[in-house]
Amino acid sequence: MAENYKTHNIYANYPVDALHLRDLEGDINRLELNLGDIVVVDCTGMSYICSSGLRVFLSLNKDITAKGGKLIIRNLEPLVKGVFDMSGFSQIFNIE
Amino acid sequence: MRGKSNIFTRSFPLRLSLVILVLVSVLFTATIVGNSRSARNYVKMESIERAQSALDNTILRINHVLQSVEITLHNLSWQVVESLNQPDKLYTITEHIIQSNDFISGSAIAFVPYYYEQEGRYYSPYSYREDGAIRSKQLGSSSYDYHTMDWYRIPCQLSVPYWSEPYYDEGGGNIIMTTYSYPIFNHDGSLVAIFTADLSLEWFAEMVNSIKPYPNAYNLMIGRGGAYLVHYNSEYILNETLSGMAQARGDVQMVDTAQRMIGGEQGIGEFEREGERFYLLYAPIEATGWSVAVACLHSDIFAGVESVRKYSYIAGIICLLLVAVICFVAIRRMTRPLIKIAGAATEIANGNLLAELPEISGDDEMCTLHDSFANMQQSLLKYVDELQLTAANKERIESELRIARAIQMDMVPKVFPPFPEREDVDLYSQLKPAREVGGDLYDFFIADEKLHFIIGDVAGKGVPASLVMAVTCRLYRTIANNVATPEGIVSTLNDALSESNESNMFCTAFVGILDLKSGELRYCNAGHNPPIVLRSCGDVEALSVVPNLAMGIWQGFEYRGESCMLDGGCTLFMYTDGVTEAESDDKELYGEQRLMSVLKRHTSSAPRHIVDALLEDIAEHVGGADQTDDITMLCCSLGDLRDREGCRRIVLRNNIEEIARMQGFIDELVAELCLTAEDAFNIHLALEEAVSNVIMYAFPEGEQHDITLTVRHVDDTLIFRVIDAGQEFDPTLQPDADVTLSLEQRPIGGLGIFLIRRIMQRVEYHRIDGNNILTMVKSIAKSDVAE
Repeated sequence: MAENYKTHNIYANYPVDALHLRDLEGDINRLELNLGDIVVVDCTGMSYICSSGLRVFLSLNKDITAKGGKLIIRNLEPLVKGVFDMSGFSQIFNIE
Repeated sequence: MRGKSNIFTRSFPLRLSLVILVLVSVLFTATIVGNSRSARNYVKMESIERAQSALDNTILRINHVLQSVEITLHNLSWQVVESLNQPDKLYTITEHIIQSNDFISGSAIAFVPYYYEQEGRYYSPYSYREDGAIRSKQLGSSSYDYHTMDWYRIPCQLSVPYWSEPYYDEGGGNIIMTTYSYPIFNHDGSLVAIFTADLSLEWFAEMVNSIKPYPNAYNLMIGRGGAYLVHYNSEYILNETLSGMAQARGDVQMVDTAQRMIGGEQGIGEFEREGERFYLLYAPIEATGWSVAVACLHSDIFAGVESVRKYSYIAGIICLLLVAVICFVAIRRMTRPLIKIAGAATEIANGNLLAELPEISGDDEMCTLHDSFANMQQSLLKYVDELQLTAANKERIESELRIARAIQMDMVPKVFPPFPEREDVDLYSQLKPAREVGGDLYDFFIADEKLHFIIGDVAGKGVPASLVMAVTCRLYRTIANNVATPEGIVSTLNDALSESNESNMFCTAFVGILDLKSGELRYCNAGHNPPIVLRSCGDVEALSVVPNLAMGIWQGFEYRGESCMLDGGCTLFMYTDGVTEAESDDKELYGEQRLMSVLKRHTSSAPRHIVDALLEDIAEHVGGADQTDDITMLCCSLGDLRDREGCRRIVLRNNIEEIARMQGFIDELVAELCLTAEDAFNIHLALEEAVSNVIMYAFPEGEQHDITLTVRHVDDTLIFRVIDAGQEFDPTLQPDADVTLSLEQRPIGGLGIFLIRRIMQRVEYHRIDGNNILTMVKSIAKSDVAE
């Protein structure tokens, strides 16, 4: 990836359930994405994720990938990582 | 009635006599007062006239004497002029004057200084009376400088005759006297001497004091300067003035009178001294400028009038007493029949309706009264007969109603608590008819772990309503034992009641069947007030009901049943409209708001406490007013359902915020069962997927519905159920998400049910009675399960 592409950081340190979904959506909507931008979501403190949360990540990943960028998910808690595994997301997301 | 009973209020003759006595007394007193006033006026005028004439008479006499003195001097003045050349002859003139006028005590011819060179400065031949004889001497000397005396000086200056103010003449007469001075002129017209005559004041006093119109009257005379000339107190004479004395006493009126007297006016004054009132009549003596007055004592003047008045009063009082006695005796005689009739009336009032009335002779009002009483006696006899008959009838009806009430009360359960052996349900109810019997009803029983109950209200009250109530009660017991659903029970009841309902009586009711195992309440409302659900969390709200129609109106009406789930700890409160429509003294209704507020304070109370609290509050609202409608309350509380079934339950609203409550519910479960973090996580995930799906998609936008989540713990599995009455949807029919697809190919949705399936060991869907029931079974790690 070229050096001049911008890297965006999101710190999703909250449980992503039906009530906190808005927080994640808000954080993502604040991004001003350009072609080739990299988004790093740090999931330290994300104790929980529901399917709606997964859907939000999936949409974001599709969006960024279509723009030639990259979504990186970091520091998943083991149980949340389990959900990613269960749903097959581990294979289609960049998880570090 | 007879609070202040005394002899005056009890005796009519006495009272009337008193009234007459008082009236006559007032008239009599007014007459006497009027009479005595005019008599006083008359006497006053008369006495003033009398005193005035005595005064006038005296003044006339004084004037006469004064004039005689003046005339004497005037007549002899020419002799003085003629004798100027013979000074010795002048003595004869003065002697002659005294001889000719008895009133004159002395006479002098006082010459101007040095008129006779040889005689020196003073020359004044003088004659006077002494011991009955007339003596003469030359009066003027350096020790008796007459030129400086008023009687000489003033006529010299005025050149006219002059009466001097009284003075004590030392060296002259040596008495208090007044002097008439007549100036003498010679032929040239120049003043040569003053010709005088002395009058003793004693003489005036005698004359003035002769005015004696009343025994206590006294007289006085004042000079031109107001000095006393005559007064009974001789120390005042020439030493005090009338106005001075009046001023010293502060008697303004008297000061004014004194000034009038000095001014030469004639009139009447009044003054008070030592508590006695006096009239003061005064008149002037023109010649000397003095004023004579006579003071008459009030009490002297009016003594006669007062004594007449006193005798009038005594005579009047005697007359009045006589009038009173005569009145009393006469009225007493006339009213004697009244007392007799009153006695008879008392006897009648005491129950002897056949009491004999006294004979009354004559044709007056007493006779009319007697006839009226006789009539009344007849009417009373008739009326009492009728009354006895009516009372007997009423007594019979009342006794029947008492029995009817006992029967009616026996028709409803009244032993509380009704199920003492059960801990999962408690019930309490109260029925209070507005009259002996009423149209409210309730009933309940448990059959096959289901609580059947009914609360109802027959239109109207009293006996007609109670008959329909009895029929409804009995029908309910029979039907409820044979028909499984509330709507079935209501329909059957309705058909039975509608049949041959000629009198159009109808009955509202709420019929329910509560599954004590699951907490499911199935119910059917027939035009009745919706029951109120009290939740242990403090929520109080009316159950949503389809109103349907009251029973007995429309045979064959199709009643719709409904159902809901009740949590453990819930209380169902049912009532009839007698509660909300209880009227206070001011016709104010008790109202649903007040009912709800009382219930809100009692969400955790036992049914008996709730009902008692409401009865107390209603009684407080109603106050002294009569109960207008039958009042019935039926209150049923559910115990902890889990205790019997090992089943936990939570009822959620179709609102995404409710997820928080569900998370709390799951956390409690997790804590109690000591689940592993992974199990807890997965259970949270699966239940959130299932419930949020229902919240978001099962119901039309804007409607409010309940979603029930139950958890049952059996061995090492947990059985979850999500129950909702929303749109039919079977998630198990949805195809599994393909987790092998690439990012680009992965669809956005379909993950929820996939996750549920991955987490739960078993997922089943059923559609029962219009409810979606999703059952999920999860095995839990056995070693971690707490006992």
